[in-house]
Parts: sequence; structure tokens; C-alpha cells
Amino acid sequence: MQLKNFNSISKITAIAIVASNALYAENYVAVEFLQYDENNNRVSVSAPSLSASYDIGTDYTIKADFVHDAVSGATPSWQPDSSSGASSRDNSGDYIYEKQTFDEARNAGSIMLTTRFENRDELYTGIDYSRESDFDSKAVSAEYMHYTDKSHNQSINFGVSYGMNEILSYDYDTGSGASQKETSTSINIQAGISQIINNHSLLKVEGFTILDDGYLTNPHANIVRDYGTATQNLITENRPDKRTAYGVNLKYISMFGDNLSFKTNYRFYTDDWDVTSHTLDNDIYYSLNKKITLGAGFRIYTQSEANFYNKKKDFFTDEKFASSDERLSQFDALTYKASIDFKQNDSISYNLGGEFYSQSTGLDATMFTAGMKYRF
Amino acid sequence: MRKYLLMTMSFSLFMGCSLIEEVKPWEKETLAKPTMQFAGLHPEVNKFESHIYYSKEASKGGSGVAGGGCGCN
Amino acid sequence: MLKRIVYSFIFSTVAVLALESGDSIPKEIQEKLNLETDKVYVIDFFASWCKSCKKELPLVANIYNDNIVQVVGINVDKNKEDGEKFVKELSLPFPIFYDKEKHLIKTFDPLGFPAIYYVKNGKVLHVIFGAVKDIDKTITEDIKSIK
Repeated sequence: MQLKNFNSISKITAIAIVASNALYAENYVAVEFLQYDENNNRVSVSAPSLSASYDIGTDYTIKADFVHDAVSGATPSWQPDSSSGASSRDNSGDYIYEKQTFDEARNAGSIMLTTRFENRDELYTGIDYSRESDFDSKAVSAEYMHYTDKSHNQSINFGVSYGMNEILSYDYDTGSGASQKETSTSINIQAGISQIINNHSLLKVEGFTILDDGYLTNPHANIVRDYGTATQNLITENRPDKRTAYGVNLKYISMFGDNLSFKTNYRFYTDDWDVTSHTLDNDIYYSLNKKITLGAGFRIYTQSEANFYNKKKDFFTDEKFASSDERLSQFDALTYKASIDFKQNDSISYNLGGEFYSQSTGLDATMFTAGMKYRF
Repeated sequence: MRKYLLMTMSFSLFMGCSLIEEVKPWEKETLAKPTMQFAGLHPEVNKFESHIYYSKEASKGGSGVAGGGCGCN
Repeated sequence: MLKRIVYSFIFSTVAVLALESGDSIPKEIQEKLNLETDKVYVIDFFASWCKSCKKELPLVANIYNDNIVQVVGINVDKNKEDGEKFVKELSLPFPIFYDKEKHLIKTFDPLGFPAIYYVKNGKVLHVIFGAVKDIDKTITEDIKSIK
């Protein structure tokens, strides 16, 4: 269901994020509370998280984090239209695209070790684990960062991760409701180059490929086949069992004067489901004074639809692959964000942030974050 | 046509190279600022944000390899 | 006139060479840093934004307090206040010079940071660049062999 899809996401702890932080590693413990809410009483997520980082001498840093997502709400999918007299999935009634309610909790954790060598090259190794009632995910990752010059102005990085997912799919189609364990794997390969442009700008270019194999279908999303015929029925969607994606990421960050930094990130993505997307994410930070930093940003996203997607209930007949999951449709999305950081002293800081996300599909969502970090 | 293309590429490469300055290790004070990190001030928030995008959109990747693939979309 | 312009251009583009082992430190810098003759000094370049410096400096302070070697710290923060606050936070006991204009560090021009120079009688004996595990033990051993 939407919930599982929401929760089974790869733990984007971003080796790249760890990489950049590791160069400036410091010990800290941080608690963060994240609240996500969609319009029309759709999905709501409350996610407290705890993270910590500790340097062991000059050559090692260990970082761990844990998050508990409590997810509730409803996501839309084709359902029997009870107003038409329909009461089960395969009958002569009608179908309606409406919300399915759910309630779920997920616990996820990750540990990452940064190892620095004599030449200050770095190796990042990590494990991630996520569990909820009908989804289990384990992943291991490794990335190596190598400085190509003595002044450490240029570096290249290469990383690989391998993830294994176990999904409990429900047999809605025969009405038995029996569950079956399905599996999928995911291999993610990323390579890039970072270049310091001058003493206040940095550029990074990365290419990536993601290979998914196995059960990639959303077991809680439905389609209608043979609508308007004697054999019409509501069945679980069916996605290909392989997905190969490629992409490029360009990042640039620069400081203007002493207090204003600007960061931009463009990502191009394409896969063999015919989904192609462009993402442009921009952030600015302004240090008002030594204690307060203001942040603002916006993100523009656009994607094309998957080649087996159609939202109409009278479209699918005998196609092997079929989905009406809105997330595979063509749409655009905008995000507006703002944040404030307050540094109480050298040890303690607080942060507060808000984001508004809006899709052309009609989905709107807000995200609020509040947290505290203790450095030692 | 090929000659002009080669000249344009060579010129661009030269200009690109000349835009890159050698920054000494002790000149990296600005680059060391927390607001100058690609991860932003709060990687934990970025992680959650990415989590949301991956669950609501059909594309993924580009944020690093940690966590492996995604079974979400 | 043209010759003068050309020579100025040539010399302005010649890179200043970093001080390495065996090189002499300019006399005016020796005087500025109050380096006495026949004494071994550890000159330590650091900054508040350098996380490795934060780990190393307390260890360097220990060897100074134990009279293993004379230490001179040179802070290169752009903002002198940040440097002073950092020195106070770490309670550094050795003499500190604030080089916010970076004249001193440009003369030494280290290839890494933090940067440590062993100096005696105005000559660089050895250099250590970047983060080093157990820097206090490393310096103690090195100083024994120098003395």
C-alpha cells in the first residue's frame, strides 16, 4: 500500500552526506521530530528520530541513527463502489478511485563507519535495517573517496550498495486474503567527482545507476480490467519484475560575502519503465548573526508517466503490466521550504523548519521539523 | 563544422580550467562552514525529506548509495 | 618601461615556494615569533574551523606543559575573535600569534592543515601536515632524535 511504499524507501542517509560531514566530523547527539501531513485526510506521519556521531581518534567516525515512523491515513486506489451495490472485487458493480485507510508503524536504523587513511582518503561502510508489519528491508553499502591532488581540492568517489527487501503481499484477487512473502533486491552504483572551484565554491558531478529485481508491485494498489464487460474485475496491479534506472546529479554550492550561501542541485533520472524526471533543488542559508541562521529554498520536479500506467478504469484489458498508481503518472511538483537555526551556545542548537509540497495531481502536503543537537 | 566544434570545446575547456583556482588547505575556512555543506545543516531532515519524495514520486537515486535500493515506487 | 612591466608580470606569477626541511625562515619572521637560538621549536598552524586542530592542539599543549619542547601557535582565523575564543576554549598554554592577514602562513605555505614545523636556529628541520594520530607521541619521539 502507499504506506509500505512510503516506509520501504531506501535509507537515503546519503553516503555523499556522510562523506561531506566526515571531513568536518564532530561528536553530536541529535533528536528530531518530523511531522508530515497530506491534504484531504490522506497520509499523516509522525517520525521522531535520534542520531549520533562519534569520532574515534583522527581516523574513524561512527554514526548511527534510528527513526520510528507512525503512519496513518488513507491513500487512493480503485475500490468497489458500494453506492453501486458492489461489495467485493469481482462483481458487476462499479469501481471508484478512493482512499484506503491504514495504520502502520515502522522502525528503521542505520550505522555507518568512516575510515580515514594516511593520505586522508575515506571509506564509508554502512548497514541499514527497516521493519514494519508487512515489509522488511536490509541493505549494506560501501563508498570510497579518493583525493586526486595534494591540496585536496579534487576528489573522486565510487560507491555500491546492495539491498534486500521482503514484502508480504495479500491475495486480494481470490478473496482469500492469504499473504505470501515476496522478495526484491536493489543494487545502487554511484560515481562522481568533486572539485573546489575557489575558496568559496564547490562543484560535484555524479552518475548513478539503480538495478531493481524481484517483486516491485504495490500489493495494495488495484486496477480495473475489462471494465463494462461481463468479466470486469478489480485486481492487484502488476509491475515488471525488473527496473533499470540511470541518472546524473549536478551540485553546486557557493558563498556570497560572509553570510549568504547558495546551493543548487539538478538531477536527471530515466528508467526502462519510461519514467524520466528532472529535479531542481535550491537552498539558501543566511547567517543573521553568530546565533541565528535562516534558511529558504524551493524544489521543482517533473516526471513522465510509466509505460504501463493509466488512470482510467476502462483502459486495461489483458495487458501484462498495468498500474493506476498515481505516483507513476505524469506530474509536476513544487516544494517551498523555510527554516531557522538557533545556536544557544557552542554545544546546543535548535532547529525549526517547514515545507509545503504540492503536486499537479492534487496532492498537497506539509512537513514540519523541530529538533535539537548537542555537540561535544 | 568539426573544426569549429573542436575550437569551441577547447576554448570551453580552457575557460573552465582557468575558472578553477588552487585553494590552499589553510584557505578553506569558508568551505568548512556548516552552511557550505551539500548535506545542509540537518542531514537527518534531508533524509526524511528524501524519504517522502521517494514515496510520492516515481524516481529515485542520486543522493548516495547508503540504504541500498528502494522498494517504494 | 616595457621591460619593467614584463619583469613585474613574470615575478608576480612565479609561485612562492613552500618552506620545506632544510629551508631557512626569513629573519624578520624569526624575530616576530621570538625564536631564540639553539632551541627547538614546534610551530603549529591552526584554525578554529579545523576539526583536526581541535583534536591535536590539546595533545600539543601537553608536550608544552611537560617541557618536552617549546611551542609557538599561529592562528589563521579570518576573524581574530574566533581564534581567541578557540584558544580560550582549549586553554592553550603556549604563545599564540594571530595571522588573520595570513602573511606568516603564506611564507611557510604548508601543503596540509593543520601544519607543524620543527624549527631550530631559523631552519626548518621537519614538517608534519594534516591530522596525525597521537601527535604528542610523534613529536616527543622526533624531538628526542633531534636533541
